[in-house]
Amino acid sequence: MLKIDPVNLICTVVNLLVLFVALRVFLFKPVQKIIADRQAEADRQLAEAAAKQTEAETLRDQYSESLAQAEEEKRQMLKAAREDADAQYQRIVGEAKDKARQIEEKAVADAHAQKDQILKNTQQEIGDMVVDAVHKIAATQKNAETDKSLYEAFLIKAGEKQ
Amino acid sequence: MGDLAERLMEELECETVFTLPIRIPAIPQYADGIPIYESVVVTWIIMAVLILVSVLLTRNMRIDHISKRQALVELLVTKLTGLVEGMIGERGKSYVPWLTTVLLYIGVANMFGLFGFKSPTKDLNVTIALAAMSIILVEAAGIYHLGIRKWLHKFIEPVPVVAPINLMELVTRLLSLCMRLFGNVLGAFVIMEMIKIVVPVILPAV
Repeated sequence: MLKIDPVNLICTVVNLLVLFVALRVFLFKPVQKIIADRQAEADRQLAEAAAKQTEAETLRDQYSESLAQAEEEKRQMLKAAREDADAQYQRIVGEAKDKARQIEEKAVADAHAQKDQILKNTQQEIGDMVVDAVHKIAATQKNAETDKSLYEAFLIKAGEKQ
Repeated sequence: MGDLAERLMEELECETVFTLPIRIPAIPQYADGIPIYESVVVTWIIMAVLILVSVLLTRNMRIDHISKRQALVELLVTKLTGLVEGMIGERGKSYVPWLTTVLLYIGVANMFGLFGFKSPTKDLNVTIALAAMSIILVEAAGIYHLGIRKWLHKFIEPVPVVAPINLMELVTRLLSLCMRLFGNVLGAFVIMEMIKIVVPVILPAV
């Protein structure tokens, strides 16, 4: 149709405008709304997942921290126990050493005392024997042979005593 | 061939479906009432079909576990708007629904001939209306985005001498747009008619 008719032209314009409004209301808006809603839902879920991940990471950090703390505590306790045991060991060994030294010292002192006693006794006896011998010499006044026999007798006596 | 030309002219003739009983004696065209052409009535049918299909397709839409129907309508809408958005760019986003509507209308109108209707785009009035609305939209968008001063300034660019040519371009662009669509549809129609004549020669049984 090559005839231009203003009324039909305006009718077409109105038709197009009505169609535009109708499609906007019945087609574009609902579809865009549902797509936007879906996007929002996806965003929400993503945000939720991210929050959960952060939470899990925090928990993991807390856990590993407490684990490290426990490890440290264990180490400290072991160290303390070791130190305690060492101190006790040192104390016991020191005490034993002291005791041994005391025993040794006492033994040495006893031995010395005994030795002194023996020496004293011997000196006394030698003195007595000398006095005895001098008495015998003075009583007999014999010769050299007698002296010699006396001397030997003294020596034998002394050897027996010793 | 004369027969073909006659038939083509007959096919091109847009019939008056009914006449509104409003007589305007001052205008000879409307002296016997206002005629409503076939193109307008077919446009109404197209509108009804499009709106009905939209309403049916967008019923009970859900966010998840969507039905095949919803998937189809979402695919259609996102593809169509994506196509228009790709052409017009991010800044023209607010014009996308209108352009998609025009796209849908022209697409459906051109294919409506297959269902025994006369395609409305074969009527020059429809293509003029479409072209005029496009030009108005383009210029309105120009005024909106540039401001009236800058928009007016564009007519004397690059030199003021070309102002008449720039003004004329408004009209020629309109003419070019409406004639292009009209010519495309007319050409397609002529070719289809010729194929209809040629086919019995090659395939007599059809």
